[in-house]
Amino acid sequence: MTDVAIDPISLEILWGRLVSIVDESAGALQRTSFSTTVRESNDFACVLLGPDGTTLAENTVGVPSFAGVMSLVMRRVLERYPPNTWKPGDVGLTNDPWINTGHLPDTTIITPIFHRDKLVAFSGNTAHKADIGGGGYAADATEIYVEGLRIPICKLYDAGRLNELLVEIIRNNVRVSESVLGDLHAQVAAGHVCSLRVKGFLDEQGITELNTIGRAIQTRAEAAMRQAIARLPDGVYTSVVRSDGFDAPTDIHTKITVKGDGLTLDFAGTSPQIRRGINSVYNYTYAFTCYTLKCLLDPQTRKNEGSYKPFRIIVPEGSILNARFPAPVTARSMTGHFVSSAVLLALADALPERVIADSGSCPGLRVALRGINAHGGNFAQVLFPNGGMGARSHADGLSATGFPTNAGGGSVEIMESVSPLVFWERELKQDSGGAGKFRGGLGQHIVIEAVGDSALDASTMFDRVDFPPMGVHGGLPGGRSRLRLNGTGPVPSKGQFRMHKGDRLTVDYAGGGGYGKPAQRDRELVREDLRAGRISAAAARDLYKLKGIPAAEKSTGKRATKKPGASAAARKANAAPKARATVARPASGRRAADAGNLKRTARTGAPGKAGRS
Amino acid sequence: MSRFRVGVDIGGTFTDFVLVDEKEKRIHLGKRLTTHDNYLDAVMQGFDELVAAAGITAMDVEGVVHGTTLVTNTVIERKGARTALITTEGARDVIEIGTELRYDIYDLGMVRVTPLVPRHLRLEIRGRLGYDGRELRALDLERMPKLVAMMRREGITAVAVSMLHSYVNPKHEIAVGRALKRLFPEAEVTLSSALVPEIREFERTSTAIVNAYVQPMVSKYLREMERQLAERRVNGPLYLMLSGGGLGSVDEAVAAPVQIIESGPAGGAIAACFYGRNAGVHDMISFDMGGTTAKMCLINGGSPTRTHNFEAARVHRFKKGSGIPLRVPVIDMIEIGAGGGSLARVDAMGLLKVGPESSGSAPGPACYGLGGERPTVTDADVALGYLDPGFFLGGSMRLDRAAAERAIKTHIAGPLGISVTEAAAGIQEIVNENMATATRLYVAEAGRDIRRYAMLAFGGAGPVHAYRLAQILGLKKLICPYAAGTASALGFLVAPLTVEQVRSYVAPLEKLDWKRLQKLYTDMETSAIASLQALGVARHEIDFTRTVDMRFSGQGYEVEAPVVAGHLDATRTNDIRDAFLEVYKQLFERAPEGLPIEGLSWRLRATGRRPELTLDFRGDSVDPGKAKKGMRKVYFHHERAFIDAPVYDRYKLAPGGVLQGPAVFEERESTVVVGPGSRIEIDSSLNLVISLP
Repeated sequence: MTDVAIDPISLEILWGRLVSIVDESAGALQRTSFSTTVRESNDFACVLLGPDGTTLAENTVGVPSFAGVMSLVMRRVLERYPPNTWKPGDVGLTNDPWINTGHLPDTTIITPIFHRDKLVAFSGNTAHKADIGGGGYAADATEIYVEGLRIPICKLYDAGRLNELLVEIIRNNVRVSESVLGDLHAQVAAGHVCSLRVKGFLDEQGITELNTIGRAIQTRAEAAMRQAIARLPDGVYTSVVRSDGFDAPTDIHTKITVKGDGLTLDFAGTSPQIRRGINSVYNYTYAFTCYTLKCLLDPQTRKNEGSYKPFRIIVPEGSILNARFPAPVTARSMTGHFVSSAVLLALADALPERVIADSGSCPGLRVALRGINAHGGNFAQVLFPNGGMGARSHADGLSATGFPTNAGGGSVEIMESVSPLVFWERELKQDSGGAGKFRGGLGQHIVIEAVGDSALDASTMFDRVDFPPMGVHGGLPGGRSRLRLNGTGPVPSKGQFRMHKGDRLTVDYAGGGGYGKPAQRDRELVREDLRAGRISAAAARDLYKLKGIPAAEKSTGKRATKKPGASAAARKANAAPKARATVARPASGRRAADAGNLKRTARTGAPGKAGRS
Repeated sequence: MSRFRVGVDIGGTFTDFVLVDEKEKRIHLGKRLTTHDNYLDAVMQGFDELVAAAGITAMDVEGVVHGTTLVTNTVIERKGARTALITTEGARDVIEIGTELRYDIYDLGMVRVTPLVPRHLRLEIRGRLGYDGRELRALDLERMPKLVAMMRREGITAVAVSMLHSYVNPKHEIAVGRALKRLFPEAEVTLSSALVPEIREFERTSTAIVNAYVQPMVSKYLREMERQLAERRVNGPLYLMLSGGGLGSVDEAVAAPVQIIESGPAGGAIAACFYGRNAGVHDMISFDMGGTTAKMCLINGGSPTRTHNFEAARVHRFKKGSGIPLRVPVIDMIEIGAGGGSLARVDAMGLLKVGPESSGSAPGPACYGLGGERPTVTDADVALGYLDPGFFLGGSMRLDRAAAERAIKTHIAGPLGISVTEAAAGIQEIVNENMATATRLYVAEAGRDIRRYAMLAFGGAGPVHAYRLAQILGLKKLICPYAAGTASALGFLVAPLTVEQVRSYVAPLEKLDWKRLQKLYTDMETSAIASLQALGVARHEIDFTRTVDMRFSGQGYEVEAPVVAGHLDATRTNDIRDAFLEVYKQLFERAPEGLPIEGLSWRLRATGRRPELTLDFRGDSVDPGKAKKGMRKVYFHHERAFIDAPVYDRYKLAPGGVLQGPAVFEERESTVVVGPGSRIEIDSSLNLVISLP
């Protein structure tokens, strides 16, 4: 069978079959996992690869952070164990952040697939573990050694024999060992399912190898992406995105050069790596770059690594997007997710219809809590609520929606049932959506009380506290994030603290940026937002220039939004859009000089950093 | 046993009628166009016609069973009551925040379903319960008069009440309900704790809101239907087909209309079980393919798989997560964007894609000649000889074969540089593969081996595609029932009266308060017995099925496992654990050891006796020699060639006949196409029972 021998109809059928095999394996993994990130945030991926490590099929609902990474992992795995060294019954394992997906909780399982004694493929899957030892899920480690157990590429099973020493080492180094080992077994089982189905597929189709299909898929995916790139005007597109960073802000410099059907993306000038756990590694940076470009350029075709071949992605070594060992990396998303903002803002002028404004849910803002639950057992709960997504060229941004990741906040009733917490408030935050012709999605406002007798350990991984998500094409920035303990006390946005019985943590999640000028917003939509309490009267009057709202009026529009339980401080905080309006600038453009706007943002917008641990 | 009973199913296009004469073992069928302005017009006209055609009067009818798309359509078209929500302070955005997930991660323009209750009509009341039902903050009803005044101003006629942790302790909701009854008596009120006492506030609140939203309309409609039947002096009760596959009374449907949201498809699945029983097949995949979608339902041991998750009014019909989630007993089915009207196209990668976009009924497939220019599955069916252009819908509509081939040539064959036949075969093959892929995943997720199932096909396009689909899936037996055009309505007449109940009690198995659990079941059973007895079911006829949603502590995914019958106490711990582990292993091949297990929602399903129905079609038949209408060339994928196949008139086949494939069987609403090497038996119920080579 040669490439040309696979006609488009057969290829569609064969590829569809391979994807369904991987989906079946992914379903098994997801449903048997214990880690919340796997179950509810789809923070896992299953991939079928050829014997040379090129991808054949990926599961349909995999998470962006793993897009295209598996073949990079596989390349390293094959360096360690070349194809001819694999035996039936072998299972490979690693969680090395530099080989794998960028932090220790992600473990990758590799299963060789043999058909008639010949190595025909590999099944690879990656899933997030509930714990990996060390300092836990936190942003403040100073080196990788603090962050937990690092497992080099090794064999978990050797010709069907379990590596019991390795299992015992894991058991002795992680906090919730049953669940971690249970998940590892779920990954092995998912690999097994994939292997069985691939063999069945080969028998049924009467073929003996998958390389030909793999090449045909990659060729077509690449061609489709090249066509999409060719439709972009040639040129150089840049952006500078600033995030809170740890002790000092992080800048991500992006330069996209489009020439013909090729695209080069260079992160030169980006801030250097730091001695705190918000460093990203190359693989993670690569994944979010590819994901965002795919969303913008060719969202319709089925995903495959071939789509990313026309991209040349340059990430300076030693930068915070390509940190060198032994940098700490646990909270890599605090930096890595911003790659997506960087790509969107750089292409804002090139693709005005398709880009969205910056998102408050980028990066994913997390609070991790652990302690003792009502039944006397250990609990560990990561809170996954999201900020708002950026506005679109034709519609408001989605409120409380993860982007670029896809995690969900889950049920308050379930969380209260399994952990000693009470969620007194969880609602959309007024005025947090950046004003614009289309408004940014609203962030959330959450108030949690610790109600257990023993204190909780809390760890925060937050950003957007100093720098809000930016608007595009005249849209204003979204509202900032904010963390407070007991109403007033500031909380470190990337640090750890204790919560004692009766302590209340208030968390505001940033809103998305707006799209287009607020004064151009449909008046009926402004009135509707006002009536629903999504915006305050002050915002309607001052930002949207809605007529008929008296300057002194403070309570109109609050009829429906005022809650007896909301603190005076919270209401006051809600009434801040006017201040934000002065810092609003479209932060994209071809000229890097636009970065000047960001400096202004920094001057006017940064609150004190007291309380950072 | 009643002699004459009538089933009526309102579908999107047609309202179907079945009248069963239990004495003569015959059925009479009827069909009218659905009257969307007033559904009852078609219902009552069709009823009168059918009764007259059967030569009886309405007074002879001893029972009517009804299913309707009214609930679904009301939600999709947003034509329900102006509804408000009363909820816990700090929780009014539960339905807008939802799961926070994107159902399509590559679509930056993704749109979410708009909540049925706008934000300013989601009203908060102070008062809070903890996860264990203890009061953390007392209920404060002081604002109620103000809220009621506001609701009156806004023209509210229905109110949903859903407060946090009401599934474990309903007292706050009950108090709010009482206050509403006093202050706002004209509004219809749904309490989430009475409707669906299950943990997870988003799903519970959404369910309560949909219920409240459709209640005034459903109530008016059903009471009117009751009245009109009474006016005709129909001699028996009106029952409703519930989405879970059982029958309920009008009172029950009026109290909880959300329960009838999927009545039509449920009837289809129950009918499939009935046909399967007639053919002696109990493990099967029912396959119903129409103009826009294909539906599959897994049937084990003669019963359809059930679930409690359903999504209404999806923004994208085939994208999970794009609709309003409901917690309601439903028959578990998958719906695939594959139907006769599914459009074929070449995508940016140069690959052939079919569906989920559909041409609908207007303009429809190119061969309809109604202005449709893009090729569809039906066009491919015509080009490949599966459908006779002169005998579509029994000859009542002529199809244009040349137009079908032209569309395929322009949009597929030309761009791909292949022949029209290759392109048409490609369209069929891809739509069949899409269905096969979804079916495989569906069966795999249930932990079952697909090869041991038979397939049962119905719907307009089902029998056309079933043979090849069964072949792709490696199935050995295919059944095409006789007169399956009104399957759902027939299903209504073979479903048992059913009451389903649920209570949430979240606790680890080792730490269960057994007295509390026993009391939950005693309460549910007492209430179910009372409901069924009120409908005339004798106590000894009632069957109970207990199940529980369980998981390993810390897992987010529950598995529904059986709960032993009889008294529940600590000695049952192992029984419950073993039952859970067995189901878990069935689904996932293995279960982790030594981990604690917890229960969440405890369920009871109480059913009355299933009506037995035997049908006898023999009177209609003549011998197979005369059934043969002629020959035509049909393209078969396995052989990759057009092959001459005899064409039979389905209505002239006699029971006991045996034929060999290839063969084509034509009936009014569909065509059965069977490939070479297969064996076809016509059984005593006139089913075509096909053994694949």
